[in-house]
Order: sequence, then C-alpha cells, then structure tokens
Amino acid sequence: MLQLWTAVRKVPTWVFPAAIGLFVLVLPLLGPGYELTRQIELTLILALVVSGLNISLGYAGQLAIGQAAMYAAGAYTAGMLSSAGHTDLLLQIVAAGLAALAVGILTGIPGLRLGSWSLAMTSFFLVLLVPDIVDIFEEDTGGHLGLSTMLNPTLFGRSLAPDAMYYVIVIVAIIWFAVFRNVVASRHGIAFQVLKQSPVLASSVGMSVFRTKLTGYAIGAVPAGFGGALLANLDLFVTPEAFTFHMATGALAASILGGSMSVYGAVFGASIIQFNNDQSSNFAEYSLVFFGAFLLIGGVLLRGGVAGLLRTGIRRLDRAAGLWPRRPAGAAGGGEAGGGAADAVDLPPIEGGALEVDAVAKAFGGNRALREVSLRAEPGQVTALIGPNGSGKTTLLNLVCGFYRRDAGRITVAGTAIDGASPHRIARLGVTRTFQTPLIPPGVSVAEVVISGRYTSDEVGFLSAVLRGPKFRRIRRHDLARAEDMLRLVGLAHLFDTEAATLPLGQRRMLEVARALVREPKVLLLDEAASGLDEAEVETLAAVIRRIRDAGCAVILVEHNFGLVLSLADRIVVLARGAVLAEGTPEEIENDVRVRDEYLGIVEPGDAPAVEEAGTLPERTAK
Amino acid sequence: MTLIYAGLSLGAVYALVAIGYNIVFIASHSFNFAQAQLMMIGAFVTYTGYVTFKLPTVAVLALAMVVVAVLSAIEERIAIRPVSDHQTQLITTLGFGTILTGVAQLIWGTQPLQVPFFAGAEVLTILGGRVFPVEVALVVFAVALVVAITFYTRRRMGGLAVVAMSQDEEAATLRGIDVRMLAFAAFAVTGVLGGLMGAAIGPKTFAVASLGAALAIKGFVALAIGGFGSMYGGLLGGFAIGLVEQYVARYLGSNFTNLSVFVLLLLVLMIRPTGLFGRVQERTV
Amino acid sequence: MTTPLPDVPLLDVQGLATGYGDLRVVWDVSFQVWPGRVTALLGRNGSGKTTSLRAVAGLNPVHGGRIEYDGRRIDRLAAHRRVKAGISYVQEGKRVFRQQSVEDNLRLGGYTLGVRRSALDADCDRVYELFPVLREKRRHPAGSLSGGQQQMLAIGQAIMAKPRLLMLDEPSGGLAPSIVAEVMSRVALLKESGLAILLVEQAVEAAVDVADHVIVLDIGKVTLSSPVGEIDDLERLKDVCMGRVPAIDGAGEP
Repeated sequence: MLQLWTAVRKVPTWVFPAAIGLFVLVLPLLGPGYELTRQIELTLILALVVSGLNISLGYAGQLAIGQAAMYAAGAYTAGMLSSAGHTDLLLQIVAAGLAALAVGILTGIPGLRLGSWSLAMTSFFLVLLVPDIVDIFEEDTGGHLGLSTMLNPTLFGRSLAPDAMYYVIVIVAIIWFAVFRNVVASRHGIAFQVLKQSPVLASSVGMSVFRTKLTGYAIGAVPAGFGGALLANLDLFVTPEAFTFHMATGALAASILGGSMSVYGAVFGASIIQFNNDQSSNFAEYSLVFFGAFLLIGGVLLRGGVAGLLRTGIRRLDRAAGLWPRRPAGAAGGGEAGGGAADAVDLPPIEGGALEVDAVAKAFGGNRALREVSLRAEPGQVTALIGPNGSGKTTLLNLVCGFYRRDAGRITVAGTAIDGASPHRIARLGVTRTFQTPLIPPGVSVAEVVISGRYTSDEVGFLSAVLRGPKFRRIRRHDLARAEDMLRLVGLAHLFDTEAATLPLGQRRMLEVARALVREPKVLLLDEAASGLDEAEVETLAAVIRRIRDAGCAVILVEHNFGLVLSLADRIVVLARGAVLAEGTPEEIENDVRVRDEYLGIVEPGDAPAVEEAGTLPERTAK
Repeated sequence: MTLIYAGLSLGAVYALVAIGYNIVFIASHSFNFAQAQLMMIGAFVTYTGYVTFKLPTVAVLALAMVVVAVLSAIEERIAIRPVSDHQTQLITTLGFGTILTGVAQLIWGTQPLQVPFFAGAEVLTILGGRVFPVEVALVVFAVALVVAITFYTRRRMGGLAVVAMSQDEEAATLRGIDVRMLAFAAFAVTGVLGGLMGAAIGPKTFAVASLGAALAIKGFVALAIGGFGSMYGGLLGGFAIGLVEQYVARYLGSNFTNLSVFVLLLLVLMIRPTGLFGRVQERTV
Repeated sequence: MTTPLPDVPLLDVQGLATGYGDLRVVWDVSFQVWPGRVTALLGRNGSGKTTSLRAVAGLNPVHGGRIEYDGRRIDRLAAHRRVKAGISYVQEGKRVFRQQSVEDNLRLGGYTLGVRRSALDADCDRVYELFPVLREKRRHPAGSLSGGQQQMLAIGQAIMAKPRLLMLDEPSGGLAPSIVAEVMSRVALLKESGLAILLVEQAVEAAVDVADHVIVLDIGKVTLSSPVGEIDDLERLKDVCMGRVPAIDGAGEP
C-alpha cells in the first residue's frame, strides 16, 4: 500500500490536476448529457471567480470580498462588445479581464488604504451598486431587464457552435489554473504570504507593501472578469440578478470551504456551492442557510478548507511512507543530528557597508525619544547597542529601517543617505533585520522562508513566473542552493522542508538570521536575537554572528544579555534617555561606572526630566 | 420639510444599526456583521407578535427583545468566541447573518410584511412637513438611545468598565474586570436593543429578509463616517446618509442614491480615515 | 480579613517558569512576600522581573513551579479573580485609562468592591489624602496628567481595591528624582499600613531604601536572594544586578 503511494508520489504533482483537466475536456465524448455539462460549465465559471478571491483573500490576506462586482464588469464588457458586433470570444475575454482589472484597481486604491473591515464593507458595497450602475446605463446594459442583444460568439473568424462553449470554458479554466498555480508557487506567491503575516516583515525584505497588496487585489479581479465573459456568452444574456449579494456570499463561502489559501480548493468549493445551487428546485429555500453554515463552520473549524484537509492527508501518507521530511539534494549523507553544528559551511565574503547615524533626533509629541544621537557601525564589526528600557533603542532601529521619519540628522548606508526613503527602499539599499518576535508566515517551508529574503535579488517578473522559462528555472535553482547554504550555516539544513512556523523559538530565530543573510546585506540589524534562547542556543547564535561579521557584514546587535554583548561586540554604544551615554570597546564599557548606574536607573540630581515628563515640560537641555 | 423628515427617519434606521455595531465594537473591538440581520429578525418577530398572535404592544416588544437577545448570545458563543482574529470574525458573523436571513425566508417568506406601529399610521403635519408617527418615533428613539448609552458609560460602574476595557483590556483585567464576561454581556445587550430596534424600524422598512444586507452596509457607512466607537458620530453619520439618500433620490433619481452614499463614504474615509468623530490612535512608544 | 502572622509569607513563589507563548523568559524563580514588608526584584531589563509579576497577576501562564497566595495555589485562577482575592498589580508604563477622568479611574480601581459609583467617594478621598495632587485634577482626563501624576494615579487605582498584596512595576521609571522620592515615600507609608509589597525596580538605590528583602534576577534565574540588612556593599549589589559578578553569598540562594 505504502509502496503504491511512494510510486504515486514520484509523479510530479502537476500531473494530477492536468489529468483531471484533460478528462473534463474530453468528457463530452462519453455523452454525459446536457445537465452534467451545464453543471460543469457553471462550476468552472464560479471556480474562476472563487480563485480570484483565493488570491486576494487567501494569499494576499485582504478582506476584499466584492468579486461579484468584477464578475459583473467582465460579463457586461463582453455583453456590450458582442451587442456592438465584436463577437470574437478571445477579444471579449481579454477585454473582460482588463475591465475587471480596471474595476479592481480603481476600487482597490481607496479600499486597500483602509484595510480590514472597511475594505470588506466597501467591496460588498460595490456589489450593491451593480444594479444601480446597470440601470443608470440602461441604454447599453439593458437595465434590470437584462442585456439580450448579444450575438453568437466567434473564434478566429469562425462561428462557434453552441456546445463548443464547453470546450472554451474548460480550456480557459485549465490555462488560468496553471497560471494561478505558477504564480502562487513563485516568489510572488510567497511574497503575498509574507505580506499577510506582517507588513513590517514585507518591507524589511524590500517589498512595497501597497504595491504588493494592490497587485494581489488586482490579479484577483482578472479571473472574475474572464468568468463574466464566459457566463455572458454561455447564455447570450446578462442580467444584474446574476451579481447579487447572494452570489457574493456564495463565492465567499466557496472560497472558505474549498480552502482560501489553495489553488484547486477554488474548484472544490465552487463544485459544492454549484451543486447546492443546482438543487434549487428542492432546496432553494435552504441555500442561504447552507451558505451561512459553510461560512460559519469554515471560519471556525476548517481553517484550510477541503484543500487543507487533503494536504494534511497527503502529508500523513508521506510521513508513513518515509517521504517526508525530504532532504535537500545536496545533503546526501546528512548525518548531522540535532542541528547544532554551524561550522560545516564557508560563508563567502559579503560586501558590507558602514551604517552612519549622524545627530539624529526624534520626538513623539513632546516626548523626545532621541536627541542628537550619532553612531557608526563599521563593516566587519559587531556594534552592540544597549541601554535601559525606554532609552531609544527601538526608536533608533525603526528610524534606520524607515518606519519613522526622523526630525533632524542624517542616516547613511554605505555612503548613501536614506533621507525620506520608505522602508522597502531602505531594505533594497542593503539593510536587513530580524525581529524581537520572529515573524514567520504560517504554511511555508523553511526553505521558502529563506528564499523570501531574496525577493529583491535576481528579480523575477510575473510573466516569467507564469511561463517558467529557462531564466526562471536558473534563478530558482540558485535560490534553492543559496537557501541551503544559509540553512547549513545556521544549523537548520536538516529541516529544509519542514513547515517553518512549527519550529521552536530558537530555530525560528536562527531561521530569521538565515533569511536576513541570504541577500548578502551590507548592514544586519539583530533585534534581541538571543532573548528566550537557552545557553546552548545562545552559543550557536554567537558563533553564527561571528562568522557573519568575519564575512564582512556590518552587524548591529540590540541585546539585553550583557554577557553575550561583552563577548561578541567590537564596539558598544550605550543609549540612555534618548542620547548616547557612552561608546567604546567592551572593556571600556564594562568599567564605566556611569553606564552601570544609568542601567540601574540612577537619576542624577538636577538632570532634565526623563522622557515621559518631557510631555509637560518641553525643555531643551545641553548635551 | 417632508423630505427632511423622511431623510432623518431613514437616517435614524441606519443610526440604530450603527449603534448596535458600536456597542460591540467598544466592548470587544470586533465587528458584528450580523447586527442588521438581528434587527431584521426583531422586525419579523414584532410582525408575528402583532399580526399572528395579536399580542399587546408590551408583550410584543418583550418577545422581540428576548428572541433577539437569545440569538445574539448564541452568535457570541458560536461565531465570536471560538474565533480569535477579527478578520475571521467578519466571515463567521457574516455566516451567522446569512443563516438568519435564510431562516427568516423559510419562516416568513420573501414578500415584505407590513409591521403595524402601536401609535397608528395617520400622517402628521409638523412645521409644514408631512410625517408618519413611526418616523417621529424612530428619530426620537435613536437620539434617546444615544443619550442613554452615553449616560450609562459615564455614570455607571458597568459603563465605566466597558469604556476602560475598550482602551486597555489588560489594564481592565488588572482592575478585576471580567473582560470576557463583559464582552458577552455587551453582545446580549445589543441583542435586547436589536429586538427593540427591529420593532421600531419594522413599520418603516417593512419586515423583509433582504433587509439585512442593505442595512448592514448602510449602518457600516454611518459608523465609518461618524467614527468607530463614537455614539454621536454614528447618529450623525446615519442622519447624513438618510438625508443624502432622500435628496439624491429626489433630484437625481433613485438609481443614484447608493452611488452617492458610496462616494460620500470614500471621500470621508480618504480625508479622515478615523471618521468625523473617531479618535486618532494614540501613539504608545 | 485577619492579618496572617508576619513570619508567614502572603505570597510564596517556588521554581516559577513562565513566558510568552513559547518564548520562555523566566526559567526558575522563587521568592516570598510578607505582610508589612517590601520584597524588591532587581536586575537588568530582560532579566524576567516583569514577566514574573505578570505570572503572579495571572496575565502570563505558569509553565512550571507554583504560586501560593494566602496559603492556596492560584496558578490557574483567572486574572480578574486574583484582583478580587486581594492582589493588585501596578504595571509599568503608567497604564491608566487615559480618556477617562482621574476620579473615574479611581472608581474603576474599586470595581471589585461591587458597589455603586457614588459609594466609592470615601475611598477616593483616602487616595486623595495620600496623593493630594490628584484631588486637584480629579475632573481632568487621566491622559492629560504628567508622568509622575499618572504613576500616582495608577498606584491610587490599585489601592482602591483594598488589596493585601501590592505589586509595583518600576514605579520610578521615567520620573524626575524629586517625584521618585515622593512616590517611594508613599510606598513606605503603604508598607507601614500592613500591605505586602512586591517591588520591581531598576533603580537599585531607590529600591534598597524601601525594601526589606532583595532578589536579583538574571536571564530568568535568581542570582541573589538576601535580606537588605545583610547587604553592606551597594556597589557589589549593583555589579550583581548587571550580571558582572556571578553572585554573592546570601540567604535563600537556590
């Protein structure tokens, strides 16, 4: 039994959906009858709409649930083109996709700025507007009576027989799902998941948060437009009643039920909802109750939907057959147990760059979090930044990464001033970081997490990701090799295929280091990387940091573990109440009485009121 | 004047939805999509109480309040409590609301039902404008409710606790406030009010299963314009939408009402994302 | 409520392990707090002081060890019930309800007493006697107070609940020296009134002035536990707090 499974798993995964697609395509030869073909047609059209939801809701994490409006835009575009005599189906489909894209972008720009419920509500509102807009343009759309002047579709100048629409629909669906799969499996798909996990993380690997969100939302609109064009040509009739709140809820239920974060889940979900709709003669009254129950149960219990269940099942069989976790190609012997060893790999030299902070100041209201702070972190050195709570360490880090705008001063990375640059631009200058609480998107393998750090290196366009040309394959191979190197460096190579979010904290921290390192940063910021680690883990981390330093990177270590700082740092900068209190070698800092007193909270008499007090007393003190 | 009355009373309906959203939002920072559907059920129960069972007004109101409060409590248990993040709550509460719509269709059908109003349906003339008694009652009810809620949140320990909880849940816990219990109570109270609101809006909007979706979104717009968490904001937002709808319907045509409200929403949100009376999030460093 | 014998600890924490999610910050921490005395937890930041307090307050789960209060285990008691049982926790960062008035903040402090809002006036007056400046500002929103006043309000809120154990997390944090002195003198007054006080501080000198017993934490473990009377070298204590000297001999060292 397990041997059979092993054999099945040797077949590349794309073969299965391709085979099912092919089967559906040739199904009419078996004479299935009108009822079944009609159901398949409607299911696939709905699946197109649902796949759009899966992109924007499932992968990009945007609560944009107004796909019915894009669907309508596609249908009316095709319908009006056809009525005007442009009967070529290909033209209609492309135009419908573009129209849906336009609606997506136009409503996405304001909607995405708001996010969350506001986006959900504005996108639902959009659905409510469909009948009104159709009525306003009654002359072209036929108003609430529907558009019934469509002509028979043609393809490449030849008229299509009525039952040829079946083949068109199946082929469009197959092509779209192939595209969808390739996008999701590419770094763009991973990028959506990174963004969904945390916008801060996304910009720290160099993604523009707004552009990525808009891309997800807009791409999600396109298949809905295709679906609309197909629906219009299937019945040669378009009515606003096809694009109601009910339809929008049904599509959402299909997405949740099938599994929003999946490719083929859209087809599962759509079949269930379509089957449910089909029972209309008997069960029409119950359809809303079912939709509602699907949403409720799907939301509470089935976080991954049907696709998620399948995935778990496959994973289980794989484990039973010893196929998982897989090892990377290179780790043939792979005898290293436990994963502590971090010394087997050579870290190639990294072209580091100095981080210079010059007289930077930042106030929040009257609270002066930083006043004229200057420091310099050299490449090939570890510069530690320490200081008591509220001394301004986090503020400084956020200024360097571009999350705050500074009030005064200058920050340069390898000689380039970062001025007003947004976080993702600063990341592209070569600044990268880890987080106090590791940010690892769920459902992504260890290797993909590391690769997500290479978002900006060797850029891959959408088209290239869809077509998977030789360049794409070359970059992909390089990505995997680099990921493996980095994982071996931090001692996680044996976990290559494991789901990253399930790792214990110590390994998640190491994984963050690997992700930060994979793009060969000029400046690496480690934000309390040792907190929560046990002694052995701290030692491994220290060894890794030393190797990164020796490779030439400028490492900035924000850390509370004084022992680690003393043993690791080349220079230590001590911040206190928003200013640099001391700077020097570990020996100098260790023996500095002021540092200790400041750390232990001694406030010198006659000093300026501390930060929180400054809110009421905005008085400027000399340095 | 008649137009203004019509706008204000329609606005009061939206404001009532917004108030329902607001209570839950203040208490637990979640968004109860099913609020409007709960009110819709309230309207249907009122209809059944009056028309089918021929009950006296007090009994009808009590029935509506109890039924909706129970549904609301069930919703909290199955659609809110088991779900941790607010995004998923939107989907589960939408699911619950959809179930309510479906059940309402099963029980009461899809045709609008005329809900009687206890003070009759004779047209009144006030300041030269014509208005139904129920329309006056709606405006008075919405305003009175906002005043009462504001009083409660400022003068009663329970109200103080809810406001405290909305600012800092952890700090509220450390003052001995049972945050979960209070959030549940807020839900149940919203249910009681939802029943009452349903009884109030039914005579104006009719009891119809499709009421939920339209009210849910307009109520949200009222809230977004007024500002999340602001009671007076929700009230004014509701009135603003009601007036815009009536004037646009009169001078541009009814096809343009939803569109104009949508434009209004986008404008307000682009200019002031927190709404007109919303608090700007305080920065905590 | 009878006062237990002073030699019986009101709070007894043994081998506590706790953290956030799977981030373990506290590995093995033990300490006691007695009525009418102050126990001070010292150490650098990140050493686990605040996390230990949060576990006692019920905000963080107990992964290991035990917390006994007034003779019974409270490891699994809900946080709000611990407040009712007499544990009041003043968090760092002056977390008052900024939008509400000073007086409403104080009334919220008395929430567990279960009485009407107006019945709390006498209790508010007692807080005003301790911190007269709050009386002047009673109608102002708490967010408009200065940092020192907010700290006083936070302490006032905590004692409104008539606690037996008061936990103070860095009451001196971010305050000017004169205010620190004022706050600390009030802490001393509260101690004399019989309250058991658990104080977390980074300011070693301020803490030692008021404390009867000091515990030093480093990376989630106790490195020193000693009555204040047995500490003669303050500089050495500071060194231990910095994690520079492994530990000094003292009573109760694990």
